[in-house]
Formats: sequence, structure tokens, C-alpha cells
Amino acid sequence: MTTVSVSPRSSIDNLTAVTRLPLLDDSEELRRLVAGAPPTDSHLLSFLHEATHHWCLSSLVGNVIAGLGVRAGSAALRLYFERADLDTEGLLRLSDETVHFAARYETALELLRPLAEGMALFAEFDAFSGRRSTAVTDPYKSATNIFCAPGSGPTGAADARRRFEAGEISSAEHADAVFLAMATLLINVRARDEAVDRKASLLLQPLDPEVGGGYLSGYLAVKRLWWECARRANRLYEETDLFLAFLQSYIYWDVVLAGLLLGGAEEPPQLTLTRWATRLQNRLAELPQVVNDQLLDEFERALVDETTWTARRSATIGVDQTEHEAAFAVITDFERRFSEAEQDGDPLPMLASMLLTQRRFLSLGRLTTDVSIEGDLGSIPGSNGSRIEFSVRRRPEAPQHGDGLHLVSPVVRDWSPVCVVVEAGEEAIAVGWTSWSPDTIAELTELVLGDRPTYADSLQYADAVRALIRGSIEIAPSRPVLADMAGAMPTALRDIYLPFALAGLDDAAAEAHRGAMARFGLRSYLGGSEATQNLARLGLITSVKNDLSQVRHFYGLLGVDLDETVSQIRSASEQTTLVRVFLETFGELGFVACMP
Amino acid sequence: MTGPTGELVLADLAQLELSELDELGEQNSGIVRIEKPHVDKDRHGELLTATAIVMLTVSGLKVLASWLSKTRKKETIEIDVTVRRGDVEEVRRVRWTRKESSAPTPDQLKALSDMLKIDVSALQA
Repeated sequence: MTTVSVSPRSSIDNLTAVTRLPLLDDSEELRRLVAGAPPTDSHLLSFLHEATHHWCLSSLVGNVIAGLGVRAGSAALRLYFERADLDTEGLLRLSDETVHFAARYETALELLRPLAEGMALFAEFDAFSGRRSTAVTDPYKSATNIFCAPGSGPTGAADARRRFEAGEISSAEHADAVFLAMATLLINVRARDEAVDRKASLLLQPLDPEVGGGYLSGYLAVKRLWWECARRANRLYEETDLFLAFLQSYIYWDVVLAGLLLGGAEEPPQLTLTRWATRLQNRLAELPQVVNDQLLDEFERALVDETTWTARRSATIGVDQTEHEAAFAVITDFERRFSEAEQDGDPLPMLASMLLTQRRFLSLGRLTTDVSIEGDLGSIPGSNGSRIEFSVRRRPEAPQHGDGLHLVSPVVRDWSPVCVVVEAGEEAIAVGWTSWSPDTIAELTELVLGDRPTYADSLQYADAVRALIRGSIEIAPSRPVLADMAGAMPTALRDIYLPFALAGLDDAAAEAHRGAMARFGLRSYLGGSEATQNLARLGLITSVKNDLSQVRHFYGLLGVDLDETVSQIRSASEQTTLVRVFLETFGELGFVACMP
Repeated sequence: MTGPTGELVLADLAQLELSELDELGEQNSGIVRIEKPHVDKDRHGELLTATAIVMLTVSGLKVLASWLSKTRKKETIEIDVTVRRGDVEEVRRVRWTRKESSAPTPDQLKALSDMLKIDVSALQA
């Protein structure tokens, strides 16, 4: 349907982490990617959103949650295949096992949903890596690699990367090129009406976190946390992407939270939920207390060094050694079950491979087309009878023709630029690339051409497993657990997120805000949809530029009155402290920013 | 041609669009209804869209025409509107060119009702 709405909604499957991007449906965009050109930049925001989800799902906590889902699937699968040989007790045991893991899987996802969405929205609308940052988040890095490829638009980043790897330019020159390319790209995209409408739609969401996905409460909480952290470590005012990296590490690599998600097998489910909620709430509350400039510098260095646990520096902050060891023992025990299961004939390892292998890739899309391979060169039909060529490595004995390309960004190898997987039927037969350094190729070839399910297969497996889980739950004596945990969820979500989303308000004011923002978010304070768009625009532009003269110049180009916007926001801020505008002038100089 | 009662269903609207419709319908309480969006617990993703339902009355048509004419980025938009009467649903494609005035003229209402294949004279006020 052609509607007045924005482009089709993108999403990500929680279990497989397979993305559905609007790019996926556009064969011309995919051909551009194969040809080494960047996609149209209108896809940038949805890409950043889903890449951020993928990044969080691929973390320690994300993988533990996925492990719970696979355990539920394994119990359901065994019940399905072994039902003829099982007595009643055996059937009920497996169905209860399904409930146990499914309840934890679903509850963990729902508890984290507002935060996950808030972070993804912050990546879309706010995250920016300033000149001082030497480390960037994986989604930001991936966006740089994919959207700043040489040949069009804000060029330079990918080209600079290649020159840096070849030793032609220094690290500082490389960083500067990346900074400029992304700054140009982000300001161009975020200043557009489409982005303004997207952010306005966010600010108009219902406030309560249990309603409609918890987008607004999650976003307000993340933005408030950023603000509080920046007050402690001032560089975060301009290093919003670095804040996102720290937050992701602090929550999604929290070994204690991961351990809690796997523990509590014998306790009442509501108590389990309370433990998780308390951990998350405390962790978020402590975040602004622990951040300081020195810690950020250490964290940044650790990220650049690319070590494993050290790189998750913030994950161990506020965690004492005993807590750490206890949680790690629980996680190790859980992992051991996966390796031991194979010997027991348990389908767990097979299921994990089928469902989780795609997590190593960020899927960009699949193009159905004839693919020819001759030697080291692959090609597909281009426009006007031309061929689009790309370097390729074919699996030995594999056919020389494929019927489609799956375009991915390999997460496991530094979120490299686009990788082209040539598929024939259900088999990956070759891997191609557009702009990789030679030492990356061998590793990726092995990874991509290894025994892995295709993109479509993974989604089909996931749907089938979910159906089996539902079937198994139906006969489980313990199935009320699911309803109990779902029933306790709204209160838990409100307790976790609203104190941050409505920070600074006393109880009476918070309750009044909940009422006023129940249907259309900040609209009642801003006076209407149009004023909400104006607040959205100022937030988007100042996410990249907050120098007053530059912002004023930009507003002039857009034909929008900056002073009227500032006046509208000031008027709203008299009714609520959630909306604020900061405008300071020093003679000819000045800066402008706003919340949220 | 459809009769006097019924609803106009607009699916997959962003929250900004829903808010604009709601604002236009505020003066006629109950003329615009917004359904709760469906959250797919198996997926995360971009902001959800939702469905708006406008009462099939003359006032409802005016609200829809005003909404279509609101400041848009594109001069011409297309949208599918489902006309629902009882159990019968018919999808109509509305192609609308942006107007300077937000208050719909009789000619614009006539054009909209023609695209929806609705007999305005048979509608309640």
C-alpha cells in the first residue's frame, strides 16, 4: 500500500537476530551495494536502529537470553520427537522444562525491551562520534563502512580506511576522515523532514513502558542517563556515541545480570522477576555515579585494543570479585550443558547452530538473481545489459552458477563492509567482497562458507521452534507461570524506567505527567503535533551541530524560524521539566541544545 | 454507493499522523478512534504503526479531508482507505493533492466522497 507513512518498518527477530530492513525489498539498492556503492542514505536511520538491536542481542546478556530460548526449543523438540516413547511423567517433565526456559526467555526480553528500544532510538537520533573519540560503537562503525563507501555522497570514510590499512595515511588522518564523512551524512539525514517526522512520532508515543513497546519511556530514560553522565564527564555532551558504547557494555555485558537470568530455578517466578528488575534498576541508577573522565579514557582505550573482557571495562565496574566469580560459574555451567548435550543425544547443539549462527552476520538483504562465477570473478546482471562484477572465492567443487546473493555485514570481523554470499538453492557456494583488505578474506571465506543455515532457513527454523514451544506449553502443569510473570511485568517496567524517564519530578508531578502523556506523549505540554515536530528538528540538528551560528545558518537553509522553535520549547518547559532548551551566547559565539 | 453508517479505516499510520488526526477530531468527540498497536513479542524494531478509524459521517469526511490537506512534504499523496459497513469492507485508493487551506471546500468533499464511492447526501451530519 502506498500511504502517507514513512518507509516500511524494519525489525529484528529476537532469537535469530535476523534483520528485516527496508533495504531488503529493494533490488536496486542491493545491486548498488554489490557494485561497491553505498545505499541511499534514507536507509541510514533504520539501519542504525536495527544494527543497535543486533549489537545488544550479540552481547553476553543477549546471548544468554538466546540460550534460554534455545533451551526452551530443545525441550519442546524432544517432547515432539520422543512423545511416543515417553510416559506421562516424562511428557510433563519436558513440558515443564519448556515453560521454565520460555518464561525466562520472554520475561528477560520484555524487561529489557524499553531499554533496547531506547538505545536503538538514541542511535538513530542522537549518537554522534566527535573528533576526540578514538573508539566508536559497532553500529556506528558499520554505518560508516556501508554508507560512506567511496563514490558518492559524503565520501571518504571507506576510502580512508583502505588507505589507512595500506599505511598511506596516519591514524589521526583516518579518524578525521571518518569524523567528517559521518558528520556530513548524519546532519544531512537527520535534518530532513522524514527524520523529523520519525522523531516526532517517538515524542508522541504513550509514556507508560508497558504500552506499545515502551519506546518513549525507554528513550527518555536513555537520554536522561546520557545527560546525567555528561554532567559527570563533560566530554560526553559531544560524545554521544561513546556514551552508547559505555551503556551497552555496562548493561549488556553485566556478568551479574547474565548470571541472574540463568539462576533462581527453584524460587517463585515473581521473585525471579523482582531480582532481575532490581539488578537492572540499580545498575541504571549507579551509572551516572560511576562515570568519570578517567574511566571513559580507560574504557575507550580498551575498546580500541580489541581485547575481550578488558574491552568490556564497564561490565566489571561495581561488581566485586565474589559476585563476578559466582555469576561466571553459573554462565559456565549453562554453556557446559550445550557441549555435553551432544553426547546425550540432546538436539540442543544442533538447534543452537540452526538458530544462532546468523547472529554472526548483520543481514542487509537478499537479491534473487542469476550469478555467474568465473575464476575469482563473480557477476550479476546490471542495468542496460551490463554486468556488476565482484571478487569472489568459490567453495571447491561448488557450481559456477548461483540463484541469489545474500548481503551481510560480518559482525565477528569488526563489522566489515558488505560481504556477498552467493547462494545456489539452500547452499552457500561462494563468498564475495567489495572492499576488504586481503588478510580478512581467508577468515571470512571460512566463516561464510562453513556449515551454516541460510538466512531464510534460520527464520523458518525459528518459527517452527516457536510453534513447538507453544504446543509444549499447552500441556505443561506449570504453564500459569507464564501468566504470572506477564502479570507482574507492567509494575516491574514502570518501576525500572519511569524514575529515569521522569527524573526530577516528585510523585505527584510524575503521576500528573503519566496522565498527560498517556496517549500522545509530550503533545499535551508542547501544544500540538507541529510544535512536537519543531522540538524534534532542533534535537536532531543539535545532535551533530550545536554551535549557534551554524545551527542558525542551517535553519536558514531549511527555511525554518529557529527563534520561534526556541520560544515554543521555552513555553513548554514552563509546564514540564522534561522539555528544555539551552541557549547560551557569548558575544558572536554561542551554543544551542534541547531535551529530549 | 455506500449508505449512511459505517467507518473509514486507515491502517499503518505513524504516531505523528495519528496525533494529527486525533487533533482534528477533538472538536467532535468520538469521531476518530485509534486502535492499540500490536507489539510482536518475537521481534524488536522501529516505532510501531497503528490503525485510525474515522466515523463515516459528514463531519468524519471533513476531518479526513482536513487531515489529507495538512502540511505535507509531498504535493500529492496516495492512501488506501477501507470503507467498512457492518461486515462489508471495501478498499478505496485516495489520491490527494495538497491544498493551501486546511478547511475543506464543498468541491473537495465531493471529490473525496467520489474516490471513496460514498453518497454524501445520505450521510449523517
